[in-house]
Amino acid sequence: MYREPLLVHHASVDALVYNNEKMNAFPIKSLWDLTTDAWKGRVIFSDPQKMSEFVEVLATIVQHSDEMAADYKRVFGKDITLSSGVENAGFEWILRLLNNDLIILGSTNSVSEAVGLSDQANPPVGLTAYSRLRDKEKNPNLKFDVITKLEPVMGVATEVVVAMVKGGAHPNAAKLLIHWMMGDTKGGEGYKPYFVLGNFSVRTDVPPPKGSASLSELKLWKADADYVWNEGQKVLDFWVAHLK
Amino acid sequence: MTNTAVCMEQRETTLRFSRIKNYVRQPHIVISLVLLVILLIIVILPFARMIEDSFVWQFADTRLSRNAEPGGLTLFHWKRVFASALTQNILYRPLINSVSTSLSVSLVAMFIGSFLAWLVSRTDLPFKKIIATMAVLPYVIPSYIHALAWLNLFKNSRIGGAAGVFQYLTGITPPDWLSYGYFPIVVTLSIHYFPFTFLLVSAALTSIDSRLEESGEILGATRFHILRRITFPLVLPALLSSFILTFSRVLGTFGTPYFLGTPVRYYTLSTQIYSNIINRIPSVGYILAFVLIIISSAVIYINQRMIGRSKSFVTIAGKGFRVTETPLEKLRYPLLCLIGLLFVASVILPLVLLVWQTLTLYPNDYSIKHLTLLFWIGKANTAFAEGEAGILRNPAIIGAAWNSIKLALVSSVIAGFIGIFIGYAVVKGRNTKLASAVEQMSFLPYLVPSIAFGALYLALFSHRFGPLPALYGTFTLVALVCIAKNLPFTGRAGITSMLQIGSELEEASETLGARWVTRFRRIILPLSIQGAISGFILVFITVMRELSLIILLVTPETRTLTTMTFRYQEQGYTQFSSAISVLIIIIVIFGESLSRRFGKKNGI
Repeated sequence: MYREPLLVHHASVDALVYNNEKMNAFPIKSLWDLTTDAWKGRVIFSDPQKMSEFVEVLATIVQHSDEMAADYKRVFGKDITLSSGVENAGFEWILRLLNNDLIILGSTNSVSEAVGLSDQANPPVGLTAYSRLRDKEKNPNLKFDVITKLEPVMGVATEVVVAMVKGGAHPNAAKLLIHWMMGDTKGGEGYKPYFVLGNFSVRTDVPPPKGSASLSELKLWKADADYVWNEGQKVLDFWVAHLK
Repeated sequence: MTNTAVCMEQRETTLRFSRIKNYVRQPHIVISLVLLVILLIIVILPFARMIEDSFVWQFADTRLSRNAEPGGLTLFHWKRVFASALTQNILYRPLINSVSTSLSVSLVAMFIGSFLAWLVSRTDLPFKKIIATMAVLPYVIPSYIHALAWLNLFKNSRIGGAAGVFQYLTGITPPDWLSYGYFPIVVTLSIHYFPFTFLLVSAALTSIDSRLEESGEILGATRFHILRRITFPLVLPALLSSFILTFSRVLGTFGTPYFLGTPVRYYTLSTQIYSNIINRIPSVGYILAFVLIIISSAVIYINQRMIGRSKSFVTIAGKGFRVTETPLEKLRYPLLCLIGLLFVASVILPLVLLVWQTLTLYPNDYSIKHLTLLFWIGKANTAFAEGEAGILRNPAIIGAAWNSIKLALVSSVIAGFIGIFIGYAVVKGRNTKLASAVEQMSFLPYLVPSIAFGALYLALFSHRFGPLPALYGTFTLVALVCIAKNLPFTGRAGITSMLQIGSELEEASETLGARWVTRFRRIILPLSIQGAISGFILVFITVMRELSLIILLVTPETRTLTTMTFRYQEQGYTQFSSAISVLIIIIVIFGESLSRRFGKKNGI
């Protein structure tokens, strides 16, 4: 596992964060809550036009449209009615989100700051990288945490892979570098930069960082590389076409 | 056939042959031909290649369409831009935004610039000399720095989390329209570009004899009538040129609309070109660049027609000349205060905000107890900004600074020299088709907005093309694009300075048997180099603060200070981006003062 077709270096999770100073419980229970009036203009996304990992997130949600539809029924007690020209509940979720005055920012960093430094009484929630939690150690003004309990999932896991370029001059040096980057049982110098909250080593012998849940405890969808390659652009086009 | 006929024919052939030989032996012809080849490669070819690419399936297109066969011909990209579900959002809306910001900026900048020019050249306003010098400063500061300063000031909590200085000091949340989008883009770019109009209109105004206006007054015309019928027609050409200069610059500007527009989904063609190219749909970016070039060319064409049609008047005659100052009376000091305010808003405030931002420990926490020099001289520390060292001890930034300086030096010297050759070829060959071809072709890069010009070069040099190597990722490519884009200016400067050198100087030495290389080295170069030096420095400054032109072409190894600012700002490390901006301004002002010193020495 995690070796084919390409070696996975670590898994990274994109999830929703909330301001844990202004709010003492998770403010939402379902992804569908974000499309309600209460969250109009209060949801911040990282721009998928700039960061392709968020195309993976959106495509994965579209891929699981059946589960999205089921959760809609659970939340609102009725079947979802799709807008005209919209294929499934995944696309419908994206459309409703965009029409709910979604705010789009250029980096995961600015999303977590927008949530964590908010001086509003009703702070926003934001979709960003789980690993932004590490910024809290650097800036004590940041007050945010990941919403770990959410239906149908709390986030999407994407795999970060390592590969060697064909025809490189020093393939064995590259292998050595990769071996070093994979770390060892004590963590290892090569894995150190990735040993942060929100990143998950694929090695069973590397324990997660302090305070981190293990990957199996979190309710996630895993991004499917084939699906993203084939459908990702269609999802991004849908996004661009409905930006207003 | 008789013998004589053969003889005649032979003689004619030799005659024709020697005529060609003589023609080619003229040095300015050779230079023109060489220049034409160079211009063909660096100006025409990229354009042709860009159009070609837009009709060909790219490898990355396999994600977009099942029918894609890389290398095959297709109309797919054109359909995607002009007739798809995306057309509204990637073409129409950005197009409207581009044109409306460019028009508004041009009008506002023209108003501020020409009013200031009138005050400085035609009234009894105090401190006129100082004001005239300071009026150029906003242009010296890179345009996107005004945008960063605006964000530092008016960023609101709705979008940015931490608010800007305005909210920090007053507690009032600025509304979105004030913080992002059309309004701030127009204000910051107008502040940046009004010096164009100021310079051109004040030059025109100082050459108008006040007696023209006074004679109107004697004939009983009202002040407004005089302004409309005498002064305005006389400065109209200057106004029209400043309009076009501003309009085409704003159209190709990338940094400001990117920083101020994207938070409220306000996209322009320049930001759409960028985002399509980084999303690996370059062909769509090329088509949008093509649209931008068409608009800019059309506006320049209409403008040239208008300049051509408006009557021209000789205002400098060999008679007495004087300028009467209009007394401002009660308005003298209020107007002075207004100018002071403009100066504070356009130069002092952005600089103070930038410097202050570099000293804050946490972004947008402006309290005194959290001020620090960490982002200037701090050691690399993983507790801050992903472990980057302060900019003065950060190897990546020092490397980028050297790249910037190297780029600016190399491109200004080469563009300057080509400019001298263009001047020589055009002036020597005046009224020939060859010379005017060289002149017109060297002017072409002026029609192409900066970001589109960068896209052209990306299209040509990302793959090997015939004898042309794939230059993407090299310093040569970045330098090449800067040289080509600045040729219209250095070429113009070359022509002007060459016109001032009488041809008898060269002819005299030719009679004495000097070869062309000697003549060029000993006569033409020394006489034209003085005029060219200020041209070099102008290009140096332009390249030092260039972002839109090179943003699509730089790679980590060729990064410059401006692109580093952009990356840091994009990642949200405002202290770093502000500190690098301050560094750029220091280098540019140093270059500017150097140019003034040279200018004085050479009596320019």
